[in-house]
Amino acid sequence: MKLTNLNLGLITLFSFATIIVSAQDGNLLDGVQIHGNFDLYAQQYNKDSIIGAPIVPEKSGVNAFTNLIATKGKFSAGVRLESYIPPVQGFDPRFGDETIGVPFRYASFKQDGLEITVGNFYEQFGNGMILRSYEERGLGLDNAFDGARVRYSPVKGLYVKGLIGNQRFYWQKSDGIVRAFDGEVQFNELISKWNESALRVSIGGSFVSKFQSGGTSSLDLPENVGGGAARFQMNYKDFSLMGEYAYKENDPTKSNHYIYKSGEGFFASATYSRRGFGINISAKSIDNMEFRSDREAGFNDLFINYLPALSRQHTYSLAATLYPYATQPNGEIGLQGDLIYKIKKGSKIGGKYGTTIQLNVSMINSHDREYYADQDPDAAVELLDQQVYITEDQSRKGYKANLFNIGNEVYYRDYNIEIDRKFNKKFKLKGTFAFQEYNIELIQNKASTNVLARIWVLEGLNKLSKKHSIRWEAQQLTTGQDQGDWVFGLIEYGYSPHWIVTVLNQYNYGNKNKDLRVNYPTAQVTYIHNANRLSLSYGRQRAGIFCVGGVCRNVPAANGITLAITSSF
Amino acid sequence: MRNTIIFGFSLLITLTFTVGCDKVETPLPEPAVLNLNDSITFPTVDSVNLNRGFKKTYVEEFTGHKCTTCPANTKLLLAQLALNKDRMIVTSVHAGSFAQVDDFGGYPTDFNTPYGTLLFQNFTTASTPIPSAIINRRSFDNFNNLMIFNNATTFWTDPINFENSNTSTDIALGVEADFIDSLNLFYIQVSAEALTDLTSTYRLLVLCVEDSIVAPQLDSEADESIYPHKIVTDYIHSHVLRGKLNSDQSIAGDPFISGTIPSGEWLDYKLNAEMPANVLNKENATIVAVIVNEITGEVIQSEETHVHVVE
Repeated sequence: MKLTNLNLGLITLFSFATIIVSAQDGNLLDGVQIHGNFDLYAQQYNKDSIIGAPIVPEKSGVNAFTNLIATKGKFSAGVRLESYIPPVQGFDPRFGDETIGVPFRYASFKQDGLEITVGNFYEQFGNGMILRSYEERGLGLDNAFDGARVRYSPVKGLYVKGLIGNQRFYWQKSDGIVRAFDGEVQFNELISKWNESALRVSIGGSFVSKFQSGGTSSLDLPENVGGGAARFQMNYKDFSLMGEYAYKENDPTKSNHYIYKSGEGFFASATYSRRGFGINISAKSIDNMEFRSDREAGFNDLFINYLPALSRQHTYSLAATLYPYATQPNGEIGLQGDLIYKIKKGSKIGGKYGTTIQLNVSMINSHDREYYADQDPDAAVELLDQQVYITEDQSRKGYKANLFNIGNEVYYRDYNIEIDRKFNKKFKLKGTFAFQEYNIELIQNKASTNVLARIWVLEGLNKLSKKHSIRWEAQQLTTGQDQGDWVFGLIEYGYSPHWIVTVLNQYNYGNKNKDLRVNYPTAQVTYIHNANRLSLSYGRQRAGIFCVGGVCRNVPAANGITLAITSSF
Repeated sequence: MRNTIIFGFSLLITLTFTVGCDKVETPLPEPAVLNLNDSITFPTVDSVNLNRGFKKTYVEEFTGHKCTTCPANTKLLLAQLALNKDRMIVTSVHAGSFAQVDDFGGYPTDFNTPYGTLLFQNFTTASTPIPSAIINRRSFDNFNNLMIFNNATTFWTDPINFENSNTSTDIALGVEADFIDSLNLFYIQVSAEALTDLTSTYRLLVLCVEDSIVAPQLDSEADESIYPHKIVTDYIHSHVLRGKLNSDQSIAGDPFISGTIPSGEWLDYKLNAEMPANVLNKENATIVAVIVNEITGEVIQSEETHVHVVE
């Protein structure tokens, strides 16, 4: 199904132009506000076989987009133009099927608690375990709906939403149709007596159904697949607790080997926080909860739902891009704990400005599964793939698993501590240590035992004067597996408020293959002026993985110039 | 206004729940339990008189009873077959929009089969004209690298003649089939001899084809004074695919050869299967055996035999 027929895009653009011109003339549409943003990310590629940089015939890639949003009173409308000439390496080449187009356009109207949107829109129910459409540009992920959505609040404290639509699939739309509704009750708003109560409670529930034709498979495929979720949230003074349970009916897909087992997901999080102290414990278990609007889709395509991540999103380069965890939607069980404590300023240990300590632990394992077809999971999956009739499993459930039975296979461990201390008005230091265990065979499909990595980071900020500052980072990662040990160094000079100059290098000094003990130097200049930001860099980009919220994409190695421009108005 | 909205939402919720979910209890039908009789022996393939001299030309013709130009083109194909009956095998695959059953339009017969539809979808696109044909499931570099032939590109006569002119084959193939009427069961024996060292992976496809089926067919050349709306009600359909007898779901059949098979080695394959329920006259049934290179998808040899019905 074609998403952007040119006429539709041009009509939308023309309508927009009309609105803008009319607004400028001060005629019919006086008071229309236009705002938006622009983003361009371009890379130039040089040959660099030693780092494994792919050869790009075009020698460059450009991703660009602009949002234009017009609002007036109860109305709003918007378009987004996107351009890929061709896509930057690491983004799906299918973005290059069209060099420029309008994949996102909508019109919306809001009045008396009723909001109607026609066209493209994003939506999330609860944590997203049963429905979340969103855009994450860095991942090349955009599963926007194209259809209609209604939100309504008949009384204060009661909120309902309903939607129907297809999802974006690069420059096309998915074959599957998604229909969904969600209801939420905020008791403290609904019941006037509870308005001022310290205990705040809300509950919600969702139902989502997708339709996709069964095609010609030898299997009797369910064309309508339904799922639902129930959630609650309560806050009492410094304490909050939330939980969500999601369930999905039989949904045989390519990635679950066309099994008809229902899917389940559970997520709970408890937080206590007061001044200088915070603790959070989150638990999650998901089994066969991948929910897409096309049963044949793979990678990050056409997800209807989102499964919250239970691993810390690191920001330092070595910790963030070498072994980041990607959520396993077919099944995982995990626990995460976060503790933040600020040692009082003026105390002996805390120093003059206080010291902040942050501890984080993530543990994620497989489920304990019992396959029907064979005791060996690989053999069982092979039989499922061959679509062999299994007498003991006539309904093709595939395996038995309890949502809370932990399996032996370690998917991920991350134990990390961060200490942040300001020594004086001109100097601040942050130290981080992380120990990670990473199932590289599962996550990156590399034949290896689990990677055991130790990561040390030291970051300093020296304020030289009111306008001048130096920020620096020193990082080291040591491991006996995969590519071995790395070091990373960065120096950044800031000339406030406009200029930042950065020089960095990373070196794979511990690679068992001496030919791959390579430096990755990069220099970057950034200029910031109001809402405009421009950065230009030259150097080597290490191959790695970029993840946001447990959703990841591969970043290939590159050598060349990178230009990034962002602007908003 | 509020009541209208609440009513609308209630309707949406009801609708979503109503259409929301299909529960499937048995995704794969249980395979039929075959009433095998151990005292019945499989037929034997005459190993002495196997064709060792050439590769037969296996033609899969995509057609349909609502395809107005199909009969004229099929006539050409059958004429070519009559002239090369020892070198050619034809299977007519009824699939796609022209093969849809249309009771009111005068096409009540369902010639579609799951395997035929799978094959049709694999080799054609929405813009492929019907009739079309594939020849040994390969492309021909001397015919613009085409794999599927029709009147819009290159008609199939010349590529079939080209394929019929080959003088060597890597494998000799024989097939024999008994149908035990009392058991409703085929006893099929396929035997093959490697004529060169075989190093690739090959699959074996076993199909049931029925000839001489009388059913309506749209025909642009029909005399409307005899056949109103050009629907030939007593049209004789030839070589109609009735079903695949292998259990494997692929379009290439069961695994047959893998690893290295030295020249001169024999391979035997035995198959019990029920007669497809759509076969109208078992006396007109034929078993077609086809060896497909799993890597290239190309047919490397094919053979057919008339079913021997044992009462």
